[in-house]
Amino acid sequence: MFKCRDIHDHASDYLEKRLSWWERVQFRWHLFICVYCRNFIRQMRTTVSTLASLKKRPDDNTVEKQVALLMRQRQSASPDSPPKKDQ
Amino acid sequence: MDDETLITGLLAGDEAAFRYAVAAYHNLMHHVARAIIGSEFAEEIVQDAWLSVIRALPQFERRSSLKTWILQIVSNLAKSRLRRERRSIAVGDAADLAFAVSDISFQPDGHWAEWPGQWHHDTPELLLASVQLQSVIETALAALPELQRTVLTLRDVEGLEMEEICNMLELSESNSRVLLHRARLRLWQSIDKFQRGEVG
Repeated sequence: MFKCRDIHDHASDYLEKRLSWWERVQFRWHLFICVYCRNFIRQMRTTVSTLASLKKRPDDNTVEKQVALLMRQRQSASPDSPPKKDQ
Repeated sequence: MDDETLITGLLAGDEAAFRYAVAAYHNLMHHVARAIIGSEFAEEIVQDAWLSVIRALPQFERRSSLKTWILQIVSNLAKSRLRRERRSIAVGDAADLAFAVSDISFQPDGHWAEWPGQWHHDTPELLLASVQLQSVIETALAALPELQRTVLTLRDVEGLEMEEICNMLELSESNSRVLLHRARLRLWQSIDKFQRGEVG
């Protein structure tokens, strides 16, 4: 059966639902009997959910201004550039 | 702003749409470019990618999200530049994938050497409400090796599918899973260390 080390090693695969049926059974059984690993998995879930709330934006709008300007300049400078196909 | 509104705005040359697109995707495009070719050429690749995006947008067939399509363009440009420069992909930390997943230690019987304790701040809202913790998370993210940070950002921050990430970064599925797990563990360790310090 799974030990704490296995829970640590396979935590992301568990959260991503990438474990086989038998691995998932062993994983869940270990969580049932081990409060520390339950804490660990809860904290890993929280860590992942926190990252999802962290959509990064540029620190200031300098980059936005530069790129927007560049795009508009190049767009108007090369109106006959052949469009590339959908990649 | 949804993809259709954004695409319409971009095609019409609407400045607000440009600003929105740049704010939403520019950093992400940098992540992908840096992970493939390194920081030396990343800015150039991203600028070329923006031009390709604008030129190719009328032909965008909506087979994927706009974000995935844009990142795929960055990835393709970075890879072709890589071939031109005759360099191998900047996998960085991928070379040590055979080693242990993390430096967290365990007892010989497989139990934790140091038990994971309770967290004081145990929801994303509470974690991000603490300015200090937010700084801990940002520092930990910045300290990650480039490829780990890119895989983590694309998966957990931006919500891309692992398959898309593997294609963009030319990673095998198993390598990308290891990189994602390592990055998550490092983030978890940083938050855990801070919470232990704060509680203790």
